Amino acid sequence: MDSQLYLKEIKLFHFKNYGKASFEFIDGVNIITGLNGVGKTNLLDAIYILGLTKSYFMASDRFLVQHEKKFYRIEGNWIKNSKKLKVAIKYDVIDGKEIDVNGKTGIKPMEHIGQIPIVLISPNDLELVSGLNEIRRRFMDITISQIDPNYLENLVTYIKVQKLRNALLTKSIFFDQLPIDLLESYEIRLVKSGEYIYKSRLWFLQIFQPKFIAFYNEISGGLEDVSLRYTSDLEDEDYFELLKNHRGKDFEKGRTVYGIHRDKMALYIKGQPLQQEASQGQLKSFVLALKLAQYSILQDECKFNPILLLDDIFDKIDASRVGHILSMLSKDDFGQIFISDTHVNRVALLLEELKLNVNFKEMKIENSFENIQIDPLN
Amino acid sequence: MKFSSKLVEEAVEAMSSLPSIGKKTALRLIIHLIQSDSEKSERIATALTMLKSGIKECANCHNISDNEICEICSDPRRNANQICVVETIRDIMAIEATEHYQGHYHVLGGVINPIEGIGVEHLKIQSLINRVNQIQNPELIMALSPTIEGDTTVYFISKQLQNPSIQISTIARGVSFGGELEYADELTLGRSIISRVPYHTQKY
Repeated sequence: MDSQLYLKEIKLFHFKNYGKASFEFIDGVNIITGLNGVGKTNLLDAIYILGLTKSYFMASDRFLVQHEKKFYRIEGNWIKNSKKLKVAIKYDVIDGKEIDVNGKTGIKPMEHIGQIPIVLISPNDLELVSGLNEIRRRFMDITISQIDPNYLENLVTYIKVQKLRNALLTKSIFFDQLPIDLLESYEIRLVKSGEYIYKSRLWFLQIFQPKFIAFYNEISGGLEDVSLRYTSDLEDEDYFELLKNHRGKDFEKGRTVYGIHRDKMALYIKGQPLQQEASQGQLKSFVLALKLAQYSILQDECKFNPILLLDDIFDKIDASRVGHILSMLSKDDFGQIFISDTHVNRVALLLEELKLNVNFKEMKIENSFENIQIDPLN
Repeated sequence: MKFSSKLVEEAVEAMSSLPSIGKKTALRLIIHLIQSDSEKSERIATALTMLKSGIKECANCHNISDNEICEICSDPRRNANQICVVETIRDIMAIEATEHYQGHYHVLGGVINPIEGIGVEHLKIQSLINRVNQIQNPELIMALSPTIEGDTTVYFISKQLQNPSIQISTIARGVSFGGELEYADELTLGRSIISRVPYHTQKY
Protein backbone atom coordinates (compact mmCIF):
# COMPACT_ATOMS: atom_id res chain seq x y z
CA MET A 1 0.00 0.00 0.00
CA ASP A 2 1.39 3.37 -0.95
CA SER A 3 -0.92 6.24 -0.17
CA GLN A 4 -0.72 9.72 -1.55
CA LEU A 5 -1.80 10.98 1.86
CA TYR A 6 -0.87 9.73 5.29
CA LEU A 7 -0.17 10.93 8.79
CA LYS A 8 3.39 10.28 9.93
CA GLU A 9 3.30 11.82 13.36
CA ILE A 10 0.91 13.59 15.68
CA LYS A 11 1.71 15.73 18.70
CA LEU A 12 -0.85 16.61 21.31
CA PHE A 13 -0.66 19.29 23.99
CA HIS A 14 -3.30 19.66 26.67
CA PHE A 15 -5.76 17.81 24.50
CA LYS A 16 -8.38 15.93 26.53
CA ASN A 17 -6.48 13.45 28.72
CA TYR A 18 -3.16 14.03 26.95
CA GLY A 19 -0.87 16.51 28.70
CA LYS A 20 1.90 16.11 26.20
CA ALA A 21 2.14 13.19 23.85
CA SER A 22 3.31 12.22 20.41
CA PHE A 23 2.61 9.19 18.25
CA GLU A 24 4.15 7.89 15.07
CA PHE A 25 2.16 6.01 12.49
CA ILE A 26 2.77 3.90 9.44
CA ASP A 27 1.30 4.26 5.98
CA GLY A 28 -1.06 1.32 6.36
CA VAL A 29 -3.27 0.02 9.14
CA ASN A 30 -2.56 1.50 12.58
CA ILE A 31 -4.15 -0.43 15.43
CA ILE A 32 -4.50 1.46 18.67
CA THR A 33 -5.29 -0.69 21.67
CA GLY A 34 -5.77 0.01 25.33
CA LEU A 35 -8.35 -0.19 28.07
CA ASN A 36 -11.43 1.99 28.18
CA GLY A 37 -10.62 5.54 29.16
CA VAL A 38 -6.96 5.65 28.14
CA GLY A 39 -7.76 8.05 25.28
CA LYS A 40 -8.05 5.94 22.12
CA THR A 41 -11.08 7.84 20.88
CA ASN A 42 -9.46 11.15 21.78
CA LEU A 43 -6.48 10.27 19.61
CA LEU A 44 -8.75 9.48 16.65
CA ASP A 45 -10.69 12.68 17.27
CA ALA A 46 -7.43 14.67 17.23
CA ILE A 47 -6.65 13.21 13.79
CA TYR A 48 -10.18 14.11 12.68
CA ILE A 49 -9.70 17.70 13.88
CA LEU A 50 -6.53 18.00 11.80
CA GLY A 51 -8.66 17.42 8.71
CA LEU A 52 -12.06 18.89 9.53
CA THR A 53 -10.93 21.58 12.06
CA LYS A 54 -13.75 20.46 14.37
CA SER A 55 -14.26 17.57 16.74
CA TYR A 56 -16.39 14.64 15.65
CA PHE A 57 -17.75 14.17 19.14
CA MET A 58 -17.79 17.55 20.87
CA ALA A 59 -19.75 20.59 19.72
CA SER A 60 -17.53 22.98 21.65
CA ASP A 61 -13.74 23.10 21.65
CA ARG A 62 -13.79 24.21 25.26
CA PHE A 63 -14.47 20.64 26.32
CA LEU A 64 -11.44 19.38 24.42
CA VAL A 65 -8.99 21.35 26.51
CA GLN A 66 -7.36 19.31 29.23
CA HIS A 67 -8.81 19.88 32.67
CA GLU A 68 -7.66 23.18 34.21
CA LYS A 69 -5.61 24.13 31.14
CA LYS A 70 -6.24 27.11 28.90
CA PHE A 71 -5.49 25.80 25.43
CA TYR A 72 -4.96 22.71 23.36
CA ARG A 73 -2.70 22.23 20.37
CA ILE A 74 -2.63 19.42 17.85
CA GLU A 75 0.20 19.12 15.37
CA GLY A 76 0.16 16.70 12.49
CA ASN A 77 3.02 15.89 10.18
CA TRP A 78 1.46 14.53 7.02
CA ILE A 79 2.88 13.33 3.75
CA LYS A 80 0.75 14.36 0.79
CA ASN A 81 1.87 13.59 -2.76
CA SER A 82 5.39 12.92 -1.37
CA LYS A 83 5.54 16.41 0.11
CA LYS A 84 5.45 17.38 3.76
CA LEU A 85 2.22 18.89 5.00
CA LYS A 86 2.33 20.27 8.50
CA VAL A 87 -1.00 21.15 10.08
CA ALA A 88 -1.37 22.70 13.52
CA ILE A 89 -4.69 23.42 15.15
CA LYS A 90 -4.61 25.50 18.29
CA TYR A 91 -7.53 26.44 20.43
CA ASP A 92 -7.24 28.97 23.21
CA VAL A 93 -10.11 29.44 25.66
CA ILE A 94 -9.84 33.22 25.21
CA ASP A 95 -8.38 33.77 21.73
CA GLY A 96 -10.31 31.01 19.97
CA LYS A 97 -9.05 28.71 17.25
CA GLU A 98 -6.14 29.10 14.91
CA ILE A 99 -5.21 26.94 11.96
CA ASP A 100 -1.65 26.87 10.66
CA VAL A 101 -0.66 25.02 7.51
CA ASN A 102 3.02 24.62 6.61
CA GLY A 103 3.90 27.51 8.90
CA LYS A 104 1.33 29.88 7.42
CA THR A 105 -0.92 31.17 10.18
CA GLY A 106 -4.52 32.27 10.14
CA ILE A 107 -5.82 29.76 7.60
CA LYS A 108 -9.62 29.82 7.32
CA PRO A 109 -11.46 26.53 7.90
CA MET A 110 -12.91 26.97 4.42
CA GLU A 111 -9.43 26.95 2.89
CA HIS A 112 -8.32 23.90 4.82
CA ILE A 113 -11.30 21.53 4.82
CA GLY A 114 -10.94 19.10 1.94
CA GLN A 115 -7.14 19.09 2.01
CA ILE A 116 -7.21 16.04 4.27
CA PRO A 117 -10.42 14.11 3.56
CA ILE A 118 -11.44 11.95 6.52
CA VAL A 119 -14.16 9.44 7.31
CA LEU A 120 -14.74 8.43 10.93
CA ILE A 121 -16.86 5.44 11.92
CA SER A 122 -17.86 5.30 15.56
CA PRO A 123 -20.26 3.28 17.74
CA ASN A 124 -22.40 6.41 18.16
CA ASP A 125 -23.18 6.55 14.47
CA LEU A 126 -26.51 4.77 14.85
CA GLU A 127 -27.86 8.30 15.33
CA LEU A 128 -27.26 8.80 11.64
CA VAL A 129 -30.16 6.49 10.80
CA SER A 130 -32.31 6.72 13.93
CA GLY A 131 -31.76 10.35 14.88
CA LEU A 132 -33.13 13.65 13.65
CA ASN A 133 -32.96 14.92 10.11
CA GLU A 134 -30.41 17.47 11.19
CA ILE A 135 -27.85 14.70 11.67
CA ARG A 136 -28.28 13.43 8.11
CA ARG A 137 -28.08 17.00 6.77
CA ARG A 138 -24.81 17.43 8.62
CA PHE A 139 -23.61 14.17 7.10
CA MET A 140 -24.30 15.55 3.61
CA ASP A 141 -22.69 18.87 4.54
CA ILE A 142 -19.51 17.32 5.92
CA THR A 143 -19.15 15.11 2.87
CA ILE A 144 -19.82 17.76 0.21
CA SER A 145 -17.71 20.37 2.04
CA GLN A 146 -14.69 18.12 1.75
CA ILE A 147 -15.25 17.91 -2.01
CA ASP A 148 -16.27 21.49 -2.83
CA PRO A 149 -15.02 24.50 -0.81
CA ASN A 150 -17.66 26.70 -2.48
CA TYR A 151 -20.32 24.54 -0.87
CA LEU A 152 -19.03 25.34 2.60
CA GLU A 153 -18.80 29.03 1.76
CA ASN A 154 -22.40 29.09 0.59
CA LEU A 155 -23.51 27.17 3.65
CA VAL A 156 -21.80 29.63 5.99
CA THR A 157 -23.32 32.56 4.08
CA TYR A 158 -26.76 30.96 4.13
CA ILE A 159 -26.69 30.43 7.90
CA LYS A 160 -25.48 33.98 8.52
CA VAL A 161 -28.02 35.65 6.22
CA GLN A 162 -30.78 33.54 7.71
CA LYS A 163 -29.82 34.77 11.18
CA LEU A 164 -29.90 38.37 9.97
CA ARG A 165 -33.29 37.91 8.29
CA ASN A 166 -34.68 36.21 11.42
CA ALA A 167 -33.43 39.06 13.59
CA LEU A 168 -35.12 41.52 11.26
CA LEU A 169 -38.37 39.53 11.39
CA THR A 170 -38.43 39.57 15.20
CA LYS A 171 -37.79 43.32 15.23
CA SER A 172 -40.41 44.03 12.55
CA ILE A 173 -43.01 44.07 15.29
CA PHE A 174 -41.97 47.68 15.95
CA PHE A 175 -42.69 48.78 12.38
CA ASP A 176 -46.06 49.77 10.93
CA GLN A 177 -45.51 47.43 8.03
CA LEU A 178 -43.00 44.78 7.01
CA PRO A 179 -39.71 46.23 5.79
CA ILE A 180 -40.11 44.67 2.35
CA ASP A 181 -37.00 46.11 0.68
CA LEU A 182 -34.78 45.15 3.54
CA LEU A 183 -36.20 41.63 3.68
CA GLU A 184 -35.61 41.39 -0.04
CA SER A 185 -31.95 42.35 0.31
CA TYR A 186 -31.52 39.31 2.57
CA GLU A 187 -33.70 37.08 0.43
CA ILE A 188 -31.66 37.50 -2.74
CA ARG A 189 -28.60 36.34 -0.81
CA LEU A 190 -30.51 33.41 0.68
CA VAL A 191 -31.69 32.42 -2.80
CA LYS A 192 -28.19 32.56 -4.27
CA SER A 193 -26.62 30.42 -1.53
CA GLY A 194 -29.69 28.23 -1.02
CA GLU A 195 -29.90 27.27 -4.68
CA TYR A 196 -26.21 26.41 -4.77
CA ILE A 197 -26.62 24.15 -1.73
CA TYR A 198 -29.78 22.56 -3.17
CA LYS A 199 -28.10 21.76 -6.49
CA SER A 200 -25.02 20.40 -4.73
CA ARG A 201 -27.08 18.11 -2.49
CA LEU A 202 -29.05 16.92 -5.50
CA TRP A 203 -25.83 16.10 -7.32
CA PHE A 204 -24.46 14.44 -4.21
CA LEU A 205 -27.48 12.15 -3.77
CA GLN A 206 -27.31 11.15 -7.41
CA ILE A 207 -23.78 9.78 -7.19
CA PHE A 208 -24.05 8.70 -3.55
CA GLN A 209 -27.16 6.54 -3.92
CA PRO A 210 -25.73 3.80 -6.21
CA LYS A 211 -22.59 3.57 -4.07
CA PHE A 212 -24.67 3.26 -0.93
CA ILE A 213 -26.87 0.50 -2.39
CA ALA A 214 -23.84 -1.45 -3.57
CA PHE A 215 -22.17 -1.28 -0.14
CA TYR A 216 -25.37 -2.19 1.66
CA ASN A 217 -25.85 -5.31 -0.41
CA GLU A 218 -22.23 -6.24 0.01
CA ILE A 219 -22.48 -5.92 3.80
CA SER A 220 -25.85 -7.62 4.17
CA GLY A 221 -24.91 -10.23 1.64
CA GLY A 222 -28.23 -10.03 -0.13
CA LEU A 223 -30.28 -7.94 -2.47
CA GLU A 224 -32.55 -5.87 -0.31
CA ASP A 225 -34.48 -2.94 -1.70
CA VAL A 226 -32.92 0.05 0.07
CA SER A 227 -32.95 3.67 -1.01
CA LEU A 228 -32.31 7.25 0.01
CA ARG A 229 -34.66 10.08 -0.90
CA TYR A 230 -33.72 13.73 -0.85
CA THR A 231 -36.51 16.26 -0.46
CA SER A 232 -36.31 20.01 -0.29
CA ASP A 233 -38.59 23.06 -0.19
CA LEU A 234 -36.74 24.22 -3.27
CA GLU A 235 -37.72 21.32 -5.51
CA ASP A 236 -41.14 22.50 -6.75
CA GLU A 237 -41.09 26.22 -6.29
CA ASP A 238 -38.87 29.14 -7.13
CA TYR A 239 -37.09 29.86 -3.83
CA PHE A 240 -37.40 33.62 -4.07
CA GLU A 241 -41.17 33.36 -4.69
CA LEU A 242 -41.42 30.94 -1.78
CA LEU A 243 -39.72 33.39 0.59
CA LYS A 244 -41.68 36.34 -0.76
CA ASN A 245 -45.05 34.60 -0.43
CA HIS A 246 -44.43 33.57 3.16
CA ARG A 247 -43.12 36.82 4.61
CA GLY A 248 -46.31 37.13 6.67
CA LYS A 249 -46.00 33.62 8.05
CA ASP A 250 -42.29 34.11 8.72
CA PHE A 251 -43.10 37.33 10.59
CA GLU A 252 -45.63 35.52 12.80
CA LYS A 253 -43.14 32.79 13.61
CA GLY A 254 -40.24 35.21 13.91
CA ARG A 255 -38.05 33.07 11.69
CA THR A 256 -37.48 31.95 8.12
CA VAL A 257 -39.63 28.86 7.74
CA TYR A 258 -38.77 27.59 4.26
CA GLY A 259 -35.36 26.77 2.91
CA ILE A 260 -32.56 24.25 2.63
CA HIS A 261 -32.27 24.20 6.43
CA ARG A 262 -35.30 21.90 6.31
CA ASP A 263 -33.98 19.53 3.65
CA LYS A 264 -34.43 15.84 4.32
CA MET A 265 -32.47 12.78 3.42
CA ALA A 266 -34.96 10.02 4.17
CA LEU A 267 -33.98 6.36 4.36
CA TYR A 268 -36.14 3.53 3.04
CA ILE A 269 -36.09 -0.23 3.14
CA LYS A 270 -38.51 -2.21 0.97
CA GLY A 271 -40.22 1.09 0.20
CA GLN A 272 -40.95 1.79 3.88
CA PRO A 273 -39.30 4.35 6.15
CA LEU A 274 -36.29 2.70 7.74
CA GLN A 275 -37.03 3.77 11.33
CA GLN A 276 -40.30 1.85 11.27
CA GLU A 277 -39.26 -1.24 9.42
CA ALA A 278 -35.66 -2.10 10.05
CA SER A 279 -34.17 -4.58 12.48
CA GLN A 280 -31.17 -3.63 14.61
CA GLY A 281 -28.90 -5.55 12.25
CA GLN A 282 -30.30 -3.74 9.22
CA LEU A 283 -29.81 -0.38 10.93
CA LYS A 284 -26.17 -1.21 11.59
CA SER A 285 -25.67 -2.28 7.99
CA PHE A 286 -27.28 0.98 6.89
CA VAL A 287 -24.89 3.08 8.96
CA LEU A 288 -21.90 1.19 7.71
CA ALA A 289 -23.02 1.44 4.09
CA LEU A 290 -23.57 5.19 4.45
CA LYS A 291 -20.07 5.60 5.85
CA LEU A 292 -18.36 3.41 3.29
CA ALA A 293 -20.21 5.21 0.49
CA GLN A 294 -19.00 8.47 2.05
CA TYR A 295 -15.46 7.11 1.88
CA SER A 296 -15.92 6.03 -1.72
CA ILE A 297 -17.34 9.36 -2.89
CA LEU A 298 -14.48 11.27 -1.25
CA GLN A 299 -12.03 8.85 -2.83
CA ASP A 300 -13.51 9.49 -6.29
CA GLU A 301 -13.89 13.23 -6.01
CA CYS A 302 -10.70 14.09 -4.12
CA LYS A 303 -8.68 11.83 -6.45
CA PHE A 304 -6.86 10.15 -3.58
CA ASN A 305 -7.59 7.89 -0.64
CA PRO A 306 -9.13 9.55 2.41
CA ILE A 307 -8.05 8.74 5.95
CA LEU A 308 -10.29 6.18 7.61
CA LEU A 309 -10.79 6.23 11.38
CA LEU A 310 -12.55 3.23 12.89
CA ASP A 311 -13.35 3.91 16.50
CA ASP A 312 -14.04 0.93 18.69
CA ILE A 313 -15.90 -0.86 15.93
CA PHE A 314 -16.14 -4.17 17.81
CA ASP A 315 -18.31 -2.40 20.36
CA LYS A 316 -21.38 -2.26 18.14
CA ILE A 317 -20.45 -4.34 15.15
CA ASP A 318 -20.04 -8.11 15.31
CA ALA A 319 -16.81 -9.81 14.31
CA SER A 320 -18.15 -11.09 10.99
CA ARG A 321 -19.09 -7.57 9.87
CA VAL A 322 -15.74 -6.20 11.02
CA GLY A 323 -13.98 -8.94 9.05
CA HIS A 324 -16.12 -7.97 6.12
CA ILE A 325 -15.09 -4.32 6.40
CA LEU A 326 -11.44 -5.20 6.74
CA SER A 327 -11.39 -7.43 3.70
CA MET A 328 -13.27 -4.77 1.75
CA LEU A 329 -10.73 -2.20 2.86
CA SER A 330 -7.77 -4.12 1.54
CA LYS A 331 -9.53 -5.04 -1.68
CA ASP A 332 -10.52 -1.54 -2.58
CA ASP A 333 -7.09 0.03 -2.27
CA PHE A 334 -7.74 2.02 0.86
CA GLY A 335 -5.42 4.65 2.22
CA GLN A 336 -4.20 5.03 5.76
CA ILE A 337 -6.44 3.45 8.39
CA PHE A 338 -6.65 3.88 12.16
CA ILE A 339 -8.49 1.29 14.22
CA SER A 340 -9.02 1.50 17.95
CA ASP A 341 -9.87 -1.57 19.99
CA THR A 342 -10.01 -2.49 23.66
CA HIS A 343 -8.49 -5.94 23.04
CA VAL A 344 -4.81 -6.29 22.39
CA ASN A 345 -4.10 -8.35 19.29
CA ARG A 346 -7.74 -8.89 18.25
CA VAL A 347 -7.61 -6.80 15.06
CA ALA A 348 -4.10 -7.99 14.26
CA LEU A 349 -5.17 -11.64 14.52
CA LEU A 350 -8.18 -10.96 12.35
CA LEU A 351 -5.99 -9.31 9.74
CA GLU A 352 -3.67 -12.33 9.74
CA GLU A 353 -6.57 -14.74 9.64
CA LEU A 354 -8.02 -12.99 6.62
CA LYS A 355 -4.58 -13.17 4.95
CA LEU A 356 -4.88 -9.58 3.86
CA ASN A 357 -2.02 -7.99 2.08
CA VAL A 358 -1.68 -4.97 4.34
CA ASN A 359 1.00 -3.44 6.52
CA PHE A 360 -0.12 -3.02 10.05
CA LYS A 361 1.29 -1.77 13.29
CA GLU A 362 -0.22 -2.18 16.71
CA MET A 363 0.45 0.28 19.47
CA LYS A 364 -0.81 0.07 23.00
CA ILE A 365 -1.73 3.10 25.02
CA GLU A 366 -0.94 1.97 28.54
CA ASN A 367 -2.09 4.62 30.88
CA SER A 368 -3.09 8.15 30.09
CA PHE A 369 -1.20 9.47 33.11
CA GLU A 370 2.10 8.52 31.59
CA ASN A 371 1.48 11.08 28.91
CA ILE A 372 1.02 13.86 31.37
CA GLN A 373 4.40 15.38 31.85
CA ILE A 374 5.30 18.42 33.85
CA ASP A 375 5.06 21.20 31.34
CA PRO A 376 7.56 24.02 31.89
CA LEU A 377 5.12 26.44 30.24
CA ASN A 378 2.56 26.02 32.93
CA MET B 1 -4.09 48.67 41.46
CA LYS B 2 -3.67 50.77 44.62
CA PHE B 3 -2.83 54.46 44.53
CA SER B 4 -1.42 56.77 47.17
CA SER B 5 -3.45 59.62 45.74
CA LYS B 6 -7.14 59.99 44.93
CA LEU B 7 -6.19 62.49 42.20
CA VAL B 8 -3.96 59.96 40.47
CA GLU B 9 -6.60 57.29 40.82
CA GLU B 10 -9.23 59.45 39.15
CA ALA B 11 -6.85 60.46 36.34
CA VAL B 12 -5.90 56.83 35.68
CA GLU B 13 -9.54 55.77 35.69
CA ALA B 14 -10.42 58.50 33.21
CA MET B 15 -7.50 57.76 30.90
CA SER B 16 -8.05 54.01 30.89
CA SER B 17 -11.63 54.50 29.72
CA LEU B 18 -10.16 55.16 26.27
CA PRO B 19 -10.00 52.30 23.78
CA SER B 20 -6.78 50.28 23.71
CA ILE B 21 -5.50 51.96 26.90
CA GLY B 22 -5.26 49.70 29.92
CA LYS B 23 -4.60 50.60 33.53
CA LYS B 24 -0.82 50.23 33.24
CA THR B 25 -0.50 52.41 30.14
CA ALA B 26 -2.80 54.98 31.73
CA LEU B 27 -0.62 55.08 34.85
CA ARG B 28 2.52 55.56 32.75
CA LEU B 29 0.93 58.50 30.91
CA ILE B 30 -0.31 60.08 34.14
CA ILE B 31 3.09 59.79 35.85
CA HIS B 32 4.62 61.31 32.75
CA LEU B 33 2.24 64.26 33.03
CA ILE B 34 2.91 64.68 36.77
CA GLN B 35 6.62 64.89 36.09
CA SER B 36 6.23 67.28 33.12
CA ASP B 37 5.56 71.04 33.08
CA SER B 38 2.02 72.01 33.88
CA GLU B 39 1.81 73.61 30.40
CA LYS B 40 1.76 70.19 28.85
CA SER B 41 -1.27 69.03 30.84
CA GLU B 42 -3.03 72.34 30.26
CA ARG B 43 -2.49 72.13 26.51
CA ILE B 44 -3.91 68.61 26.39
CA ALA B 45 -6.85 69.55 28.59
CA THR B 46 -7.66 72.64 26.52
CA ALA B 47 -7.33 70.78 23.23
CA LEU B 48 -9.73 68.10 24.42
CA THR B 49 -12.28 70.58 25.80
CA MET B 50 -12.16 72.66 22.62
CA LEU B 51 -12.44 69.53 20.52
CA LYS B 52 -15.66 68.39 22.09
CA SER B 53 -17.32 71.79 22.15
CA GLY B 54 -16.09 72.89 18.73
CA ILE B 55 -16.38 69.78 16.59
CA LYS B 56 -19.36 69.53 14.29
CA GLU B 57 -20.81 66.97 11.97
CA CYS B 58 -20.95 68.08 8.33
CA ALA B 59 -24.63 68.65 7.48
CA ASN B 60 -24.00 67.31 4.02
CA CYS B 61 -21.85 64.18 4.36
CA HIS B 62 -21.72 63.59 8.16
CA ASN B 63 -17.94 63.75 8.22
CA ILE B 64 -16.36 65.51 11.22
CA SER B 65 -15.89 69.20 10.56
CA ASP B 66 -15.03 72.56 12.11
CA ASN B 67 -17.85 74.25 10.23
CA GLU B 68 -21.42 73.45 9.22
CA ILE B 69 -20.12 72.07 5.93
CA CYS B 70 -16.82 70.17 5.95
CA GLU B 71 -13.72 71.08 3.94
CA ILE B 72 -14.27 68.30 1.43
CA CYS B 73 -17.88 69.29 0.69
CA SER B 74 -17.00 72.97 0.39
CA ASP B 75 -13.99 72.42 -1.88
CA PRO B 76 -15.06 73.79 -5.33
CA ARG B 77 -12.42 71.67 -7.10
CA ARG B 78 -14.07 68.44 -6.03
CA ASN B 79 -16.76 66.72 -8.08
CA ALA B 80 -20.05 67.10 -6.21
CA ASN B 81 -21.87 64.64 -8.50
CA GLN B 82 -19.74 61.77 -7.30
CA ILE B 83 -20.53 60.41 -3.83
CA CYS B 84 -18.48 57.73 -2.19
CA VAL B 85 -20.56 55.95 0.47
CA VAL B 86 -18.55 54.76 3.48
CA GLU B 87 -19.26 53.30 6.91
CA THR B 88 -17.15 55.54 9.15
CA ILE B 89 -15.07 58.71 9.07
CA ARG B 90 -11.99 56.53 9.33
CA ASP B 91 -12.84 55.15 5.89
CA ILE B 92 -12.77 58.71 4.48
CA MET B 93 -9.30 59.20 5.89
CA ALA B 94 -8.16 55.93 4.32
CA ILE B 95 -9.53 56.85 0.89
CA GLU B 96 -8.21 60.41 1.12
CA ALA B 97 -4.76 59.05 1.86
CA THR B 98 -4.79 57.31 -1.53
CA GLU B 99 -5.13 60.74 -3.29
CA HIS B 100 -7.07 58.96 -6.03
CA TYR B 101 -10.49 60.31 -5.32
CA GLN B 102 -11.78 63.79 -6.07
CA GLY B 103 -15.48 63.47 -5.31
CA HIS B 104 -17.60 63.84 -2.20
CA TYR B 105 -18.37 61.36 0.57
CA HIS B 106 -21.30 60.15 2.62
CA VAL B 107 -20.80 58.58 6.04
CA LEU B 108 -23.53 56.04 6.85
CA GLY B 109 -22.34 55.42 10.40
CA GLY B 110 -22.31 51.64 9.96
CA VAL B 111 -24.13 48.92 8.03
CA ILE B 112 -27.55 47.39 8.56
CA ASN B 113 -27.36 44.59 11.11
CA PRO B 114 -30.59 43.54 12.83
CA ILE B 115 -28.66 41.17 15.11
CA GLU B 116 -26.74 44.13 16.55
CA GLY B 117 -29.91 46.19 16.55
CA ILE B 118 -28.70 48.53 13.78
CA GLY B 119 -31.66 49.30 11.56
CA VAL B 120 -32.14 51.59 8.57
CA GLU B 121 -33.31 54.37 10.90
CA HIS B 122 -30.00 54.36 12.78
CA LEU B 123 -27.99 55.06 9.65
CA LYS B 124 -27.75 58.13 7.42
CA ILE B 125 -29.55 56.40 4.57
CA GLN B 126 -32.50 58.79 4.19
CA SER B 127 -30.15 61.77 4.10
CA LEU B 128 -28.16 60.02 1.35
CA ILE B 129 -31.33 59.53 -0.70
CA ASN B 130 -32.29 63.19 -0.22
CA ARG B 131 -28.80 64.24 -1.30
CA VAL B 132 -28.80 62.05 -4.39
CA ASN B 133 -32.22 63.34 -5.44
CA GLN B 134 -30.89 66.90 -5.54
CA ILE B 135 -27.98 66.07 -7.82
CA GLN B 136 -28.11 65.84 -11.59
CA ASN B 137 -26.52 62.67 -13.01
CA PRO B 138 -25.28 61.42 -9.65
CA GLU B 139 -22.72 58.67 -9.35
CA LEU B 140 -22.55 56.54 -6.21
CA ILE B 141 -19.46 54.58 -5.29
CA MET B 142 -20.22 52.03 -2.60
CA ALA B 143 -17.14 51.55 -0.45
CA LEU B 144 -18.61 49.35 2.30
CA SER B 145 -17.05 46.31 3.96
CA PRO B 146 -17.04 43.18 1.80
CA THR B 147 -19.29 41.35 4.26
CA ILE B 148 -22.83 40.01 4.09
CA GLU B 149 -23.99 43.04 6.11
CA GLY B 150 -22.15 45.43 3.78
CA ASP B 151 -23.51 43.73 0.66
CA THR B 152 -27.12 43.74 1.87
CA THR B 153 -26.81 47.41 2.82
CA VAL B 154 -25.61 48.19 -0.72
CA TYR B 155 -28.54 46.22 -2.14
CA PHE B 156 -31.01 47.99 0.12
CA ILE B 157 -29.74 51.47 -0.77
CA SER B 158 -29.77 50.72 -4.48
CA LYS B 159 -33.37 49.50 -4.14
CA GLN B 160 -34.31 52.86 -2.63
CA LEU B 161 -32.79 54.76 -5.54
CA GLN B 162 -35.02 53.91 -8.44
CA ASN B 163 -33.89 56.78 -10.63
CA PRO B 164 -32.31 55.16 -13.72
CA SER B 165 -29.95 58.11 -14.28
CA ILE B 166 -28.02 57.14 -11.12
CA GLN B 167 -24.82 55.27 -11.71
CA ILE B 168 -23.97 52.90 -8.87
CA SER B 169 -20.72 51.03 -8.54
CA THR B 170 -18.95 49.13 -5.78
CA ILE B 171 -15.24 49.21 -5.13
CA ALA B 172 -13.31 46.30 -6.66
CA ARG B 173 -12.39 43.36 -4.49
CA GLY B 174 -9.64 40.95 -5.18
CA VAL B 175 -5.96 40.26 -5.38
CA SER B 176 -3.95 43.01 -3.74
CA PHE B 177 -1.65 45.18 -5.80
CA GLY B 178 1.88 43.84 -5.98
CA GLY B 179 0.66 40.55 -4.53
CA GLU B 180 1.43 37.25 -6.14
CA LEU B 181 -1.44 35.07 -7.28
CA GLU B 182 0.14 32.00 -5.76
CA TYR B 183 -0.22 33.47 -2.28
CA ALA B 184 -3.73 34.90 -2.64
CA ASP B 185 -6.31 32.93 -0.70
CA GLU B 186 -8.67 30.88 -2.83
CA LEU B 187 -11.76 32.82 -1.82
CA THR B 188 -10.33 36.15 -2.93
CA LEU B 189 -8.79 34.72 -6.06
CA GLY B 190 -12.08 33.03 -6.96
CA ARG B 191 -13.94 36.32 -6.58
CA SER B 192 -11.34 38.11 -8.66
CA ILE B 193 -11.88 35.66 -11.49
CA ILE B 194 -15.67 35.93 -11.31
CA SER B 195 -15.68 39.74 -11.17
CA ARG B 196 -12.88 40.21 -13.70
CA VAL B 197 -12.69 43.58 -15.47
CA PRO B 198 -12.22 44.38 -19.18
CA TYR B 199 -8.65 45.22 -20.03
CA HIS B 200 -7.94 48.70 -21.38
CA THR B 201 -4.51 49.53 -22.66
CA GLN B 202 -5.17 53.21 -21.98
CA LYS B 203 -6.30 52.65 -18.45
CA TYR B 204 -3.33 53.99 -16.56
